[in-house]
Amino acid sequence: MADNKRSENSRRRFLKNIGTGLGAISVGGAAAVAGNKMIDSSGEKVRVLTAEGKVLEVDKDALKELKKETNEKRESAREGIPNRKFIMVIDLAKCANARKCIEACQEGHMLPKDHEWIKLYSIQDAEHTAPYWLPRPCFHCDNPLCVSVCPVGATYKRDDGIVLVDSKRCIGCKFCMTGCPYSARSFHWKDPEVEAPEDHVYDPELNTPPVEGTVGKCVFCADKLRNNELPRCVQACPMGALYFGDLVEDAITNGVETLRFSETMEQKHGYRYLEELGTHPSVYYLPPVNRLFDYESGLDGLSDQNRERYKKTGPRDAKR
Amino acid sequence: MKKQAPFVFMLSMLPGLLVLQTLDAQDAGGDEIQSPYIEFKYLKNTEGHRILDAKIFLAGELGLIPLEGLPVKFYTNYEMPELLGEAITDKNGVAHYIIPENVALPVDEDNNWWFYAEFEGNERYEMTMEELTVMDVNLRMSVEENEGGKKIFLEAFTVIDSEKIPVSNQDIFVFVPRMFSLLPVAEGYFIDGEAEVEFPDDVPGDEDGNLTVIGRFNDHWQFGNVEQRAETTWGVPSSHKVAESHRALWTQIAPRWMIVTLTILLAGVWGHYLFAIISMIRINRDGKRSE
Amino acid sequence: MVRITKKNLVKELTTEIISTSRNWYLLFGVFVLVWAIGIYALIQQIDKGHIVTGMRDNVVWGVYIVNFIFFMGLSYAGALISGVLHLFKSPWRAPVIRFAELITVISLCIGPFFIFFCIGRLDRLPFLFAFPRIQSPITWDVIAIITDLFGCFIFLYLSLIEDFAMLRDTTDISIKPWKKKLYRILALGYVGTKKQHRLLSRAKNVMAAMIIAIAIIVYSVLAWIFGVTLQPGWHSTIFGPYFVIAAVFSGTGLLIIIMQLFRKIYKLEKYITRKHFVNVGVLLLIIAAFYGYFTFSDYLTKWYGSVKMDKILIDKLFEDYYLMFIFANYLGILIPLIIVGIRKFRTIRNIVIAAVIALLGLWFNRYIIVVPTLETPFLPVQDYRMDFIKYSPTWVEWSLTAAGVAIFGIFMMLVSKIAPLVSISEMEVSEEVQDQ
Repeated sequence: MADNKRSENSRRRFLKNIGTGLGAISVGGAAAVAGNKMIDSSGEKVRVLTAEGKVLEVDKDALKELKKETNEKRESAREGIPNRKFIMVIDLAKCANARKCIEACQEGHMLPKDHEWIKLYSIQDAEHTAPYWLPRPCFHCDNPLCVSVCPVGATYKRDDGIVLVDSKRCIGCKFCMTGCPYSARSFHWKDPEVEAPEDHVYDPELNTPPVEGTVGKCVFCADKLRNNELPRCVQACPMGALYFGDLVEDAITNGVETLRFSETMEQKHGYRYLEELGTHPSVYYLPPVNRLFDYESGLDGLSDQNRERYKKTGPRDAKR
Repeated sequence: MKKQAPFVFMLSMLPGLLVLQTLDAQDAGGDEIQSPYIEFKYLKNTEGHRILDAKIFLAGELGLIPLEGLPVKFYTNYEMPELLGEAITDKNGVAHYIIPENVALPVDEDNNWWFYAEFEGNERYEMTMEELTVMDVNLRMSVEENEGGKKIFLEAFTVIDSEKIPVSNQDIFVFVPRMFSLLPVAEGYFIDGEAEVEFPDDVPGDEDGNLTVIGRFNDHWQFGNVEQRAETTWGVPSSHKVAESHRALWTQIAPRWMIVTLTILLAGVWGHYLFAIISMIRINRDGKRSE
Repeated sequence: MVRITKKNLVKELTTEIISTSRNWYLLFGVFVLVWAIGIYALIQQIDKGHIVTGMRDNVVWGVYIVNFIFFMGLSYAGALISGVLHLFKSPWRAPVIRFAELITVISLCIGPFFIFFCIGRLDRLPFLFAFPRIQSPITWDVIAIITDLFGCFIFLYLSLIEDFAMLRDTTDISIKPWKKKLYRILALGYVGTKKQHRLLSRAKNVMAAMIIAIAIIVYSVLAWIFGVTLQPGWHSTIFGPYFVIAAVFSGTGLLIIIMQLFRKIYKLEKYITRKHFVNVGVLLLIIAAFYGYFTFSDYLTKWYGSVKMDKILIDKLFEDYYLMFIFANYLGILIPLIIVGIRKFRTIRNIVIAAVIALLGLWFNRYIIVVPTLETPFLPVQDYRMDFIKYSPTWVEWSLTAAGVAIFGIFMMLVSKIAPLVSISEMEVSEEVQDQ
């Protein structure tokens, strides 16, 4: 009896693992392919549980095929979208620290609440300059030090400019975190306790669910880009402060207006943060001139916890 | 932009509702019925098809949340509404309905068509609807390139009681399609049904310079969206190749000097180890011999 | 002067191999206990995740990496010292060289474990070999450490062959049969023929030169893990040589301490005399001078130019880390200089005190290289969680640190049961021993 139960349990666990693979079948009519395979192969059958909870008999070889497919996503994520070079433009005049970008990102990437891939900094450059809010996603540098120092190639730069992390490859040495001068990477110090849906196929372009002991960071929502959709933070920003686009096409959009990138840079004097470090970021900033909101309004509506963050903000370099 | 104003207000009001924001709007509340909105648009495309787009969404705290799989019914005739057809929203929350060519659309006294989109509601979402009026306009476009530059000629007229009436004093925009949206690159003005627009020289096209040019009444108050597309070779040939750099460290393959240096170093060191190990073997052999 | 004879030599230098005292068991037990606590801490860390450590998103490497640098430094220093002593045939090297070799090998076995503790997914360590990227300094380090490990083992073994042969052949003392058997295997049939002697000494010379070179390269590579990043305080061209000097400094300090410990415990006063302490002490003095010079030059240029981030870092060092900075970079250098520099102060006790201060000072020097830099990223740390702003090591990290020290002791004590801690063969040829 007890034995029975145990084997039942392990079977279920097994089925759960398989479920990940099966999800791939139901997508894109691959089921037919798997079905055909059943005829001319070894004939050994395995019972598996689908995402919908149905039990199916599937050929063992077909399962192997599926396993490969989950890895194929990891491989294909290494290929960028051809002839694209993605860029983000952040208009600091429009940012009011609403934190919607952070929330949308956390929701989309199944991140714990204390994990922020896009961060909001309160920056004051010098003693007599005015403070402003600085949203900081990953800069997807063209000379990414984080990629250079990775010992296992878990993080890589694609031709379309996007830097991704394969959290099935990452060994968690955190060298990339010390390599990144923008603190854009964060580490899962404990089990994130997030369960992916059963039919979930791991894709570094979405990079969910988070894995304990690995490094995560903003992925420019590479999964959305495949469908010509804007990144989650860009869509979520109520102020339209975040623009996203393609350098090759010379166009950026915040979902409401579409601008020529080069013209915007010229007219608003765009710049990149800490240009002198030579990392060549793909994220550009428009200086906070003619602001839509004053700095103080960014503190309104913050939770006490988040207000705590900015308490000690001051011109730290202006000190003496 | 108009739709975003309430969010700005709400977010300063509702810091306590942070928890709620984390939930997917579709799951939020469970039995609480929610009120979606409809964004209703009319488009007449190059082929002359008339398309009604109704986007159903919730105004969530994280922006607009499109609702998938909801049926939308489209009606016309303000006096006596008659059903045109039905469509289901896709994953972007948009229900497309192409008005069949043979359907006679009655006009009102201002020569406008009236359309009405309605989602009848279900156990989760309240009923919602939207209407629009639009005047049918015929848009023609031709493109021409000569020494004077790249020119786009546009012609627009409406037909009222079988009489051609040229469009006057209206703006029209020239767009090029980009990855996420349409980019406005030039602008024209109709006088006596005609507009001439100069197309800029520096718009990137594809690798061969192919570029689709779109003349379009964009969200026009009277005409809705009406567009004409033309394929041109007016684009600046653009492509993206990552410059190969032998010194780049982030690439998959290490710089050559590094591989060479490492190989030499390792060969040198391990060669000496080998020497030491061979010495040990010879010591051992010599010991056996002398025994 | 105490006369040392060859017969006594074998007897007195092998007492630990023949018998085991109660103190030995006591000390060994203490070490094992400390080590066990460390293992418990490690299990906690693996079970609950790195959250049980004080490391957080900004200070991603803490005490572990400090220990890693520290232990690796000791190892390279041991290699350098033994290599140099061997090559230059220093007349006083005999009782010292074995300790240096042991320090080399033992710390080299311990050091890498501290980097393992830093790694989030230990189950994926094989990826380092499956998907290596030559560009990453970590790959350099993996290759370097493996190379070094082999080299140091070969060198240590070469230097032990003669002693093993002697222990195999000796009839002066009674050795357990299983140990005899072991010595027969380990001695590789060395009987001291002319050819064997020539082969052995040539191999030793080659390996001595090799491990000096490797030690320098390998420790520079470790320094470059920090140097290649853009972080303020790390992005420094002198980090390679600076680390090498610092390593030798700490290794010399440890050598003095170990010499004193085993001299007392194993009653080797006759063999390890004040002369040896003064000689190694002078080595410490010279290196302290170099090390002080490097430290000064690194901080002077940072402070004088005062690039924004350097200035923030220096301010932090002189405010939050004031005491540590004073201890590590003032006292840790000046006290050894003064004690060994002034002839009057050169007693064994004083030299040992200087060594302890040097060793501790160096550990803190590593700490204030690693931690304050990570606490001052380019973008200010703006967090409501105190532990993300200021790093403070937890009991887990301290336990594992203590376990590192304990396992060093355990290894040292175990080796003393098999191999003589003072090289008999080296002693034989040294001038103090007279035939009888």
